[in-house]
Amino acid sequence: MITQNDTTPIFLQIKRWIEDHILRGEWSAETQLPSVRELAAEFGVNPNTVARTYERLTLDGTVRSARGIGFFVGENAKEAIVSRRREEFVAHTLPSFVEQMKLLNIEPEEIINAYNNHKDENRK
Amino acid sequence: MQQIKLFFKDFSRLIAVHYRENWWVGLFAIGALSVVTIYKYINIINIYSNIGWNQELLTLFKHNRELCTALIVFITAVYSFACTLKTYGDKERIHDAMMLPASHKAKFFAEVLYSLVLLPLVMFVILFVTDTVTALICQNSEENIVLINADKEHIYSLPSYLYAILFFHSITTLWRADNSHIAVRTVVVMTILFLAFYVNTPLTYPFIWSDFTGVTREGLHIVFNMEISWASSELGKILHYLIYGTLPIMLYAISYYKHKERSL
Amino acid sequence: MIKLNNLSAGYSKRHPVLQKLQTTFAQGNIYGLLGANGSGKTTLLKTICGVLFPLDGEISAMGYTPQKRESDFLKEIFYIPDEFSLPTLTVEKYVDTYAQFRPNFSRQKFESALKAMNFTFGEHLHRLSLGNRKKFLISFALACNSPLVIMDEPTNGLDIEAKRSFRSLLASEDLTNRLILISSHAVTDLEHILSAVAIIHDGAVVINSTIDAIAANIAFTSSTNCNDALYTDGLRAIVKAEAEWSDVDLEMLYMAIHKSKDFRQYVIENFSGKESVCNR
Repeated sequence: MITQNDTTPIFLQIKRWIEDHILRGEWSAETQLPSVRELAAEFGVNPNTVARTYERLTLDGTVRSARGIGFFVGENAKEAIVSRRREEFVAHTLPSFVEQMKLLNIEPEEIINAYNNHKDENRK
Repeated sequence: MQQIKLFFKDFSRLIAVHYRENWWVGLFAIGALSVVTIYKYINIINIYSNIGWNQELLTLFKHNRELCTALIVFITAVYSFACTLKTYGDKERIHDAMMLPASHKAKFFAEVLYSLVLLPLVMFVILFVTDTVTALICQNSEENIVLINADKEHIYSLPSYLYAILFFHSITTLWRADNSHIAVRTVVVMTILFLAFYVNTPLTYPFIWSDFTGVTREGLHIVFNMEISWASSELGKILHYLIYGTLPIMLYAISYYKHKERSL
Repeated sequence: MIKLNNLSAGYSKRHPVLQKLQTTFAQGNIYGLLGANGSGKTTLLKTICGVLFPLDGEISAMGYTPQKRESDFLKEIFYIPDEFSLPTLTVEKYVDTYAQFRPNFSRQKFESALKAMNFTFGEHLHRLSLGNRKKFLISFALACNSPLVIMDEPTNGLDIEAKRSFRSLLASEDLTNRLILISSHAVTDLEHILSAVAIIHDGAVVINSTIDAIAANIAFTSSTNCNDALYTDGLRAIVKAEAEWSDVDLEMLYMAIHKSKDFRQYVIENFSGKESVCNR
């Protein structure tokens, strides 16, 4: 899961991994998360890196820390993650996507069709 | 009291470490000596049955003892070498004993014990047991008294054998000197021993042909086979002192240049 | 935890491998020691252990003088050399004999480390392959729980799975008042597990710093859009740190220090401090 090819800092990769678990519903609110050392051992990284991940998650509000006990998934964590990723999507991914569309002369209809097909396939 | 307890704990652990790995070397050494000793003494018993007690038999006893003692020295030396080369001569094991958490004293005494004391002690025990058994078989009270006295005569040659044992031990110690003053002490002890005892055996004169004619109550007698001048005999003595004295120092130097990592 | 005070070390007084080192290694870290072959990595490790004596200057480790090889010091340190062989004993006998010297040895930790690295049981130790020997001694070292653990090329000989397990084992270590010092060429094996790094070049410690401190000062990026790179190899570049965190690319850092005098100068100027003072 931690790849050499991904240029995102490791601590953010781990952050994404945790957020994905929360988004998928595997970790609901108030679930206790693995300790810093457990996660560090899991990924084979220095505990400082995981500590930084948890710091960022705490700042985001996704996770809250209880002194001496550990880290817990925050209330409304899922919604918070979704809304932040939405913001990132709108701010970064979307503009470059639109840019590509213009460059390659892709019409909005093609996008809508692709979206609908994808939805149908997922239903099957 | 605490220190002494700690010392003995370290000490016994080190002995255990040594024998866990080297038990077979010791067993082999003792086995070899036992075989030779028993064989030689069976020889004596055979001769006894033919000629009874006389001077020849006594001489044979003496020679036997000397041979066995020399063998003990030789085997101890080889044993020390074998154990040393297994770890300290071996580049890949060299750090093991250096890094083993035990006090210097414990390491030194353990080393002395299992290479210098324990093995030769066991072997001397074999020697004297065989002596006693043979004497019992060849029973005769008068000759037994002579035998007991012969014991003392045997001791006269002990210093040079002791020197030889210490000499070989110094090689092994210096070779892997964890502590240079162990090496220095060994040399000093050797020198003192050598000078303190009036050594009067063939071993003392490496450059002069000598012979010993037998045993009396005063000790072994040495007769020189050729006409020598006072100068040659003094030169002989000087040379042998030099050799016996400087060899350890040379080894020290060789050890230093070869194994600088040791504390020298 | 380890303090070098004007330390010169090596095998000959006329040509010391390391000259006038002045730096400290703080506890709580997994340190990487990088340097070219013959640069003095092993010399430094051996001097820290007390196997080698300093030619000049002083070194102190956990308050002890390593050279004295005091029993109390030796109990607190475990040294895994690059090349070593094991005695003619079984695993059991070895543990029975040698664990006694280590008051904090944990049998359970030893066995779980061996299993984690997929050690093959059953053979006498002296007959083990290189990989298994390494696995054995690494497991034993970690199980001793010594405050100072020194490893010289620990991943050399380990298969991929064992390397992963090795990283996980290090990650699970409680580093309070402890220091794990690893000397290695295998930067990629260890990159993410290190919390601090020291790089030796030309007989001196050019940089000695935590990864965090490095990341706070410099960033590693692709060279397409930077004008004032501190160093570049064509594909990637080192620049002054921006707002966004970038992971430290140790291989690049190493190459930059070795190839560029300007970059070395930059590093010396910017990473000076109690932890990383260098006289070159």
